[in-house]
Order: sequence, then structure tokens, then C-alpha cells
Amino acid sequence: MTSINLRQQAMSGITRANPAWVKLLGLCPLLAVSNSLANALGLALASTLVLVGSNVTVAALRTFIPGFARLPLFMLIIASFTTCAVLLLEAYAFGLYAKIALFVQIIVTNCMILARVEQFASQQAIHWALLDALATALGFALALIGLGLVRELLATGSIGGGLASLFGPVAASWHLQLLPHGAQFPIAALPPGAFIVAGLLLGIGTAVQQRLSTKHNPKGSVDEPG
Amino acid sequence: MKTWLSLLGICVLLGGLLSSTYVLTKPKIQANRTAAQRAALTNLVAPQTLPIDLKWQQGYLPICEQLTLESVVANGYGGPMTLLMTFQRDACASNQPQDQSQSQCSSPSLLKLVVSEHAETPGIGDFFETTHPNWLEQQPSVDSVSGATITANALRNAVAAALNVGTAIPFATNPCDYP
Repeated sequence: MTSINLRQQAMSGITRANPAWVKLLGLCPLLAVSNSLANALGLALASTLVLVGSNVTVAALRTFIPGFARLPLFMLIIASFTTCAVLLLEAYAFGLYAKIALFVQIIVTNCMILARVEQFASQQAIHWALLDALATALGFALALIGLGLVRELLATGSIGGGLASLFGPVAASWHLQLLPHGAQFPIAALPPGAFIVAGLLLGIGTAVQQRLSTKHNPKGSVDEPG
Repeated sequence: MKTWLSLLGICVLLGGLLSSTYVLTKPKIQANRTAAQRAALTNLVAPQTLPIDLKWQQGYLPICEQLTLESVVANGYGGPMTLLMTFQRDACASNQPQDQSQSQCSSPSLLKLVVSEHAETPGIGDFFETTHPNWLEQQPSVDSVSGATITANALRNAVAAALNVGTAIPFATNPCDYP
């Protein structure tokens, strides 16, 4: 494969092959944690660490990984980085850890990471694996943050509450009240609200994508997602 | 043979990564946990009476005439809730031999209650921290909180159970000998 192809393939994780919005992977933590911007950012950071760590490790060790034992080894690598992410979160963002620890722990079962490791990192050089991990993590983070912003805004009328638990006391003033009091929809912060908001965002995204692809390609064929 | 060696090598590598992260983060995590526990307790008792070493004894912490209890209620709406409660105990027993204290002192009374961990419905069942932060003071006139009956009942049962436990715990020989 040429390097341009590889770059395209690696970068597609941000938009065209976005793990959350296009491939619909990792929805459990996505829906559970995205009730506020702070929680979404925390999970996005932890997922980035695990994705980058395991992708790079697998790419670096790819010649030593025997084919028959590759899946257990991939899981072992992902689990190790997940545990590290949990420990780091508990050490440096304890307030956030108390809220989202469970969902950081289950990053290990996130098939998005295993898919990137198996499909891409186990066959490519380290720098491509790193680029792929960063692009996929950015795509996942964009999905999480988008959902977190909309849900927090609808549920509390403000955005950025609780950022202090991630960035320290400086961030206490980053809390913006955007809607007047009384204009809140608490359901957006609850699990049903997660499905409703995610469904709406997904619908909007698909509509935009379809409109764009018909513009590029007037015969109206739509790219097959993921 | 080469295969097994590389498997072993990878496991050793990952083990090293895990143990070094664990060792590096351990002191910070310990400090965070202690600080979080102290912060939870300062909602309950005056900070100056809080001992430097928190010596929990099977879910309770005697502080002078007060008794702080940690209680887990299994029947919240969203799962178990962890409560921290402070009771005022009758000081009559503090200078008395233990065998007399049980009969002479009245049962302890609830001073404060904080829900430290819960999974109740946001906006409805978490009235104890958001919509009615001083629900405990309103307790005589509030039977239960509309829409969150299960949560309110669970809290009431937990306080009743903790009162029983609190009555049964004898005073320490000299409850105020903390610095």
C-alpha cells in the first residue's frame, strides 16, 4: 500500500470512518458518560491514552506476536493500558475518577480499540499506527464531546460544569450558563435522553453526509459506511 | 521456543509497565483517597475535632461525644447508597464504667447525614444534594419526597438501622483524647 493510501486510511478515523458516529462502536461508554462536557472529556482522554498506547505497542511488537496468540495478546496489551489509564485518572483527576471510573475500566471491552489494533496496527509501522490511533481517538473524542455538549446544555442550561475536576480550580470559571433557569430538560442527562440526543445527532450527521455526497457525485450513490 | 520467549518477553514488558505506573501513582492516589474521606467528613463534624488519623472501626468513627457512621443501604432506587451520618451521643457515659453506660444513656440522635455515593435518578432521586439540600431539617413535615419515595424510604430505614447500631456501640474509654 502506498503511503498516501495509508495516510488516508489512518486519517479516516476522524470523519469518514468515525468509530462512534459511522461505525457505531463503543456506544456503551459513549452514551453512559456523555451527560456533561467534563465527563466526556475525561473519557475521551482516557480512551486516547489506551488507543495510542496499545496501537503503538502492537505495531512495535508486531513481528514478535505469534499469529495463533494474537487476540489474547492484544487484549492483554489493551487491558494493561486501561489499568494504567485508571490509575493515572485516580491520581491526577480524582473528582472525575469518582464519577466515570467504571466507564474508564470498561474501555478494555471497547471493540473500537481491538478493531484498530487488529485491522491496522498489527500490520503497519509504528508511525502509521500512531497516526491511526490519534485520528481514531480524535474521532471518538469529537463524538463524545458533541454529545456531551448538547446533553449538558439541554439538561442544565449550561456547559462546562465540573471541568474543575479535570483541569483543577482554574477551570471553575469556565462554567457558562447559556439558557435561563427553568429552560432545562433533565431527561437529556438521563439514559433515555442519551439515546434520543445520540439518535438525533446521528440523523443530522447522516443527512449532512448524504447531501455532501450527492453534491460531489450527482448520480446519488452514497458511500457505504465503515 | 522463540514463540514462547517472545510471549514471555511481552508479558514481562506489560508487567513492568503496570507495576511502574502503580508504584508511581500510589502515593498520589492514597493522598487523594484520604483527602476525599476527610472532605466528606468535614461536612459532618467540625474540622478541628477530626483526628489526624482516621481510625475507622467496622464502619464507625468515634469523635468525642459524636459518632460518625458509614452505612450502606442496599435498597436505593438506583442501587446501593453509601451514607455518612453523625450522631450526638449522650455525654453521660464518658466518665462512667462501661457496664453502666448502656442503661443510663438515651439513644443517640441524628445530627447530620450526607450521601457520599449513590446512583439515584439525577434531578428526581438525588433531592438530598440538589433540589432539597436541607431535606433533613424538613423531615418532620415531609413524609417522603414526591417521585422519589423509594429513595426517601431507603434513607429513613438507613437512619433507623444506624441508630440501632449507634446505641449498641459503647463509648471509647476516653472518647476525647484525640489531639
